[in-house]
Amino acid sequence: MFASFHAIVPMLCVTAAGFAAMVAEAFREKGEPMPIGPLGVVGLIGAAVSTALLWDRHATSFGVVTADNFGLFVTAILIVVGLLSLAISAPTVEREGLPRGEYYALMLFSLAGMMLMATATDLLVIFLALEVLSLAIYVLTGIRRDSQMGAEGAFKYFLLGGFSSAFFLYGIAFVYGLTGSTHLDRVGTLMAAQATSSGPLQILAVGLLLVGFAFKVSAVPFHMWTPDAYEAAPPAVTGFMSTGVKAAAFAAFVRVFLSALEPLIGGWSEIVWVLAAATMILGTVVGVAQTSIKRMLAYSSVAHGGYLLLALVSGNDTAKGAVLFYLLVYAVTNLGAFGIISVLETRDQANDRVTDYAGLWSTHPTLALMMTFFLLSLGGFPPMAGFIAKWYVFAAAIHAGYVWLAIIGVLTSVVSVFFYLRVIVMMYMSAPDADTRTTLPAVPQLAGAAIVISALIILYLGVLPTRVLEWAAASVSGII
Amino acid sequence: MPTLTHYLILSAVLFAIGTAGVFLRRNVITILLSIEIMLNAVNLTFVAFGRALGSVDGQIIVFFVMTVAAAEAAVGLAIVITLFRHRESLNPEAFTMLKW
Repeated sequence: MFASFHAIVPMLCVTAAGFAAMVAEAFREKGEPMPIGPLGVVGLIGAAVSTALLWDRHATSFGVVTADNFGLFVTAILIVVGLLSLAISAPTVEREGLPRGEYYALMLFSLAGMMLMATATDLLVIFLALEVLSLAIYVLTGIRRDSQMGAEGAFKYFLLGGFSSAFFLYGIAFVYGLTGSTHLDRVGTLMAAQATSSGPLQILAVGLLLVGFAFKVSAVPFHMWTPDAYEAAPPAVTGFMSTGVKAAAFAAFVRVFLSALEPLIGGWSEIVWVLAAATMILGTVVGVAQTSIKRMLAYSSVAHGGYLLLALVSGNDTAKGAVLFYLLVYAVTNLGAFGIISVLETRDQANDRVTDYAGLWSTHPTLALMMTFFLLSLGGFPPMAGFIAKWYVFAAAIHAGYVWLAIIGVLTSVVSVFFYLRVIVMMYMSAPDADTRTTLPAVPQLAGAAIVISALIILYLGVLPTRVLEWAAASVSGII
Repeated sequence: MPTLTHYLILSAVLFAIGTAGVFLRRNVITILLSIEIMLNAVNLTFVAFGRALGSVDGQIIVFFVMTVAAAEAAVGLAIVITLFRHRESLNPEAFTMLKW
């Protein structure tokens, strides 16, 4: 009888931890210390164990959630994102005096939504998961209630998020009208039968779904909210949402567009081609002009979305494996970078201008070294993992015949190196400006450990990627 | 006798009104209402398709959407309240701390 629950056990663990965090906060005496963060770690470890047990089992729950290896790989990425985010968040929560129960509960609920989105095989469930994760993230963006910038960023994110959800839902309505079902399997079969006579309803359905996804993965021209939300949120939250949301959204994107809507690929591949090219170019070009490190990384994250779209448009199995590996590498790298921004922030000062990083090498040599690793990995330098990830994405694109797109990708990553290197040069070669110099705080142990672990992971994935690449390649077969 | 096409056109018009409202209105509460109009236009589409297909799925989906819309309104209004406390204004043009 409980067999149908197997596929959702990872989400249940995380949700339970979220509820426990909420209840613990409600029953906490004022001033009494309570380990609410570690509760989340317990839930995530439960999720990790159940993910490992579900591997290769292909469990299905209620016909709408399938724990196939593709979904489980993304779940594993999300667990890594969750653990690193909890560790990076701890000092922020202490420093800003944020409500602990709310903060961790929202983070865990949103993680549960992301996991559901990665494993859902029904359009309605994908929509519900999207809302679960988004609603929690909107609140997390504005969690610093005394900050006006936080409120503005949260509002912009909420407004555009709600707006795009309506488009996404309208797309689902047309898919339902065309096929009489929201289940990806049946949608795929019926779409294949109708593929020869594509009418206006099909175009509307695909177009509206595409707009919804493009908003969530912040593809140009639907990226306007990204830099604002990323700058306004506390850096620990930014690290969490820039990686987790992207992983979950791309998992669902691949599932919907490369399985259910694959019969219509002739109709949408050109549009995604243009989106990918525009996203890579604009993300990089505008990134060059930024003076705030957070906004620079926001545009860099837009550009990275473009590389993932490039893999999506290629559409073959190599590309799907490349998406998984890229998401893992991008998640760990970006979390590490935002972790460093987060520990260098003080209560009154964001310290996020590029000039604030001048001379970091002389004051915090380890942090400077780690930041160098992350930025080089984002730029795609060997021997960092980012190089291998980009290599596979471009190889998949060339293999599928999208040579021009691959060339645009390579050119934009060369340009992007300029703004990553600018920070590195700043850290090592400029002396800190004596007048505007703010004293940077000491690094908290837990967050420091998370940063070092992220750096070790990207070094490992850069030097010995074979095993993880094989896993990623093996998990894309039999994706529904 | 209204047919499926009539319902679809009606919901498309509602959706367009909602979309236009998000872009044109200068009050954040009205903008939130416009998003609700868009969601309800989608609900109408679901019900119309469900009736045309002879299945109740469309109507069941509407219940889920209504729940989501309620949750979204709660979160949205809470964010608007924090925003209002900082600026004492509901005009989105007043919120200009974040630019490009």
